[in-house]
Amino acid sequence: MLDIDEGNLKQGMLGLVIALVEIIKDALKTQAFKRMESGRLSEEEMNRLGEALMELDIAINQIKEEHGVAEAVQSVRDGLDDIVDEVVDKMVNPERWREELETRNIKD
Amino acid sequence: MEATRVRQATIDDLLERVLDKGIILNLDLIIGVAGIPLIGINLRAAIASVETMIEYGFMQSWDEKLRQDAAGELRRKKLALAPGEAILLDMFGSHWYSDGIYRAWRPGRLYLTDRRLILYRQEPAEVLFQTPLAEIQGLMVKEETYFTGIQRDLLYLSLAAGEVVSLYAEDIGGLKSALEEKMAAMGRVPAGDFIPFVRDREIGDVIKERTVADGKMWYQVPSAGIYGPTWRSGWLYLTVERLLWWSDFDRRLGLEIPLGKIQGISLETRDLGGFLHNREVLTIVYRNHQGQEEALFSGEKEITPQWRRQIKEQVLDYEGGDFHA
Repeated sequence: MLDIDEGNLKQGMLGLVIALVEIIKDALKTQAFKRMESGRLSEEEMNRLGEALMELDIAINQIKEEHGVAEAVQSVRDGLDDIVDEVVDKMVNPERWREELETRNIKD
Repeated sequence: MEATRVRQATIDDLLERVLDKGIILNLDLIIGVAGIPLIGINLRAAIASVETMIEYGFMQSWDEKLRQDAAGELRRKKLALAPGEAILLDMFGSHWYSDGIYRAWRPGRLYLTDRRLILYRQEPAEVLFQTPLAEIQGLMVKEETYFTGIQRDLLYLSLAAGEVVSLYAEDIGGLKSALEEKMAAMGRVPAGDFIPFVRDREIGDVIKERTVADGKMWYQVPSAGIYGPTWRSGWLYLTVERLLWWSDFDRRLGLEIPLGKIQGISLETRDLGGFLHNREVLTIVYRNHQGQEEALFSGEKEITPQWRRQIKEQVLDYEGGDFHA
């Protein structure tokens, strides 16, 4: 998933960093919506928050465009999502462990 | 109720769930060597979104205090406008900043007021770029191609000081028309047909006349001071009036020959020293205040004859020269 060699070092590193920044940004965005819904923020604060998040979006997109790492970022995110999906799936359905173990035993 | 499998649990979902519910960590840890405990760690941590924290009665006063402080700070840091100055447009933008080895796009908020064009960054507060509207001589929107192949419109402004700046804005068309409208109201018509001398996004002089050809060329910079003649890479421009060479190394115009001063153009194979044997060299003989000079150019094998032909044609077209074919 995180396959970094000399040729794609820049793509890989920058892609990784930006993917992490994006994940944090998405988490912040979700929390921002939560806060807005709570009704504790004033009108002015909501505007400010929305504007700042929007600018962050644009700035990140600009960096991705400039360095051509959009694909690398997406692949890092997909990879992380797959891992999370797998782990969550196993936690929700413990019987899958057994299934996996069994298939492994059959192979052996 | 039965647990169903979510087809795709993403990392965003996981984070959201974790922050929403909150995590309490109770950690007791002893680090030891050879069975002897040496360092003890006793950690109690709670991680959750502020909304969840407030719900459970944590951090409420802190949250209010922080927001109050931020509001106060913001009032203090607000963009300083002259009395009576009004903001007409307000959008995200960035400015190509270049000073020595530091060159980057610096993002901020672009404000068009009835007097100035300002790029202001709030955190940390700094005016990244500003110019009075009266100093804008010309403006142009040009599509720039990134090395990734993606194209993006940039706004170029030529200022009174002879400087050319490039700006990116969220709504570049809107900004351009608003600027033009504002300048027209001030009774000035901006020049729209200048071709900025953009080399490696570094901007130097402005060529006002039509450019016939341009491309990468090496030029033998004549000896100066303790340095002997040196080959430097750069960009050669042929216009209807001049032959110009931009030095990538110095990031400025390295040579300028009016077409009328060119006396001869030839292609020769020369030994350039080092491991550059038998290279095809474009030699241009021209007149300057010191007498006759020779400019040596070298480029890709296929394009050098093309350059020779094009320069020759252009010089022949140019009236009043003293070219000897």
